[in-house]
Amino acid sequence: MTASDTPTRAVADLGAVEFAARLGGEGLGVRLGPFDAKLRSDVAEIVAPLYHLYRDYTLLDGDDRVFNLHLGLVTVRKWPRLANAKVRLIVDGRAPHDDLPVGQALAVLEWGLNLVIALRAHSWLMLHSAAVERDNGVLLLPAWPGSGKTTLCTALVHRGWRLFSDEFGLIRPSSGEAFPIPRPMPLKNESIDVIRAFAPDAELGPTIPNTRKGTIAHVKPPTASIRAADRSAPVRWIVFPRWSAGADLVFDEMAKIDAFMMLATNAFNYEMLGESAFTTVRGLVGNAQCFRLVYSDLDRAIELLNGLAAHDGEPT
Amino acid sequence: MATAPIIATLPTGAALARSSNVISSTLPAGATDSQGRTLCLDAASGTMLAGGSAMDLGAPASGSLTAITGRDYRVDANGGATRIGESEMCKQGGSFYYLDTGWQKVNVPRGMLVSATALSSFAGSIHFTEV
Amino acid sequence: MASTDDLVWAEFGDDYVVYHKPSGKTHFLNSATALLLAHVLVQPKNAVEAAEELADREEAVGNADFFAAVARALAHLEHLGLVERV
Repeated sequence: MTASDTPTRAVADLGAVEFAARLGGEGLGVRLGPFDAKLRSDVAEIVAPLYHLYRDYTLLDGDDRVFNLHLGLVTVRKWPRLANAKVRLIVDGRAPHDDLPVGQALAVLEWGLNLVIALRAHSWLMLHSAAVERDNGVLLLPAWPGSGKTTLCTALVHRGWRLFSDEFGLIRPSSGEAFPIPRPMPLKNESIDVIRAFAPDAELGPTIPNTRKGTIAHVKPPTASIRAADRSAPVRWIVFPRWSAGADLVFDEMAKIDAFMMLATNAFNYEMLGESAFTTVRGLVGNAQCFRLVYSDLDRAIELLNGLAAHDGEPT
Repeated sequence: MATAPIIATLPTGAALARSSNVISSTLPAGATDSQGRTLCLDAASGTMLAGGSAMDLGAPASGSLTAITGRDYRVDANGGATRIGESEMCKQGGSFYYLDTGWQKVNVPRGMLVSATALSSFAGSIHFTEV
Repeated sequence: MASTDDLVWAEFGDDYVVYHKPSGKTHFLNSATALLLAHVLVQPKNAVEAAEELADREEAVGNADFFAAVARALAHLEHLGLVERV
């Protein structure tokens, strides 16, 4: 049996006990879209929620595998107040930021993954954008923090769209195609209850209070999205969303030059990639329909975006 | 009537700074503010990441910045000393000199060049020194 | 004079975006600036000559404000490194 014949296993195939042992020992290898990640942690509080949220991800075995990302999460207890344990994120042997309360361990790990990807994945143009797919067309939702893109993205994937990412629009410069990296989606504050009401079947991890972004709860990506994480697709629509309390629904086609500026400004590594980033954004904007969306009613926004896909780009 | 030419330049460094407490470095061409000063973020402000291309300013974000006025700087207080540019001053750190009714000394902590746009995401969190 | 080999273009109707390879900067231009860079300044011209040719290409008339705006634009383009004095 060759390596390619070996059936892939999911994290859930390990069982909870073996999962905990690997995480705390040799490390857990897991595929996150195009990245092979090795995660290690001695933090007891993180085992159960991580097993729940990552159970569908492809398990990566083998000592001879090369992993793209190595992250560790360790418990730090300082004398004399042993009760106030903290967690330390370790990336390639170094701690990139201050230790944080152990109750935030899951959030620290997820932010740590975001940080490592944003700083290293320069074979991609990385957009600060949610991305979802339907009928082999990707909808990009580039937006600044606080615009509601994660809430909108979470809602869309519970209404028939495939999750590519709530945070990273990964674009391959050579082809202009978007690549999936479906990961737990961090809802903040009021959005947690909004999604609980909108999608009662959504699977949420624990509620984590008092983080630097408020209260957070992570939504598990739909199983189908995780299993399809090797399938790229072209970008057909670019919608710049902004949630605003009480706002009337606004959905306007954008001038391409405005969309170019907004998209380039939302690219983590636009300057680093230089000419390649320019030509990639030029292609994205040139080939996709570009819109601006302002909304307060999530149901209406979803209905509108579903209609966009159904009518192949003609706003209804 | 003929249309007048218009040019606008894309600001840089915004996305990473706004999405996290990480600020990325920029090329020398992008590191000047509207007054022509070179913006040098002190390396001790946070944790340097990714081989010096970015810095995590912690939670809550904080840091120190030196805005270096454009002048003819030398590495020593005499006219024969080697010239040094503002971006190199930031990279090396140390004491440098310029001539203005006698040799004047400036101290620049070793750091990382940043853009004004990226810095604006941390307005109020960065201690600012002009030299 | 414009260094056209250093520019990568994106055209969206009457709006243009250029990437300047030496500086790594991206600039947004209207059609007048695009005409300056892509056509008017491929040969050296002074500010008056450039403004006259630009107005000619736009098939329009340039007044004193227009000539002043072209002169300012040229100074700005020079500062950005998109044109150079010869």
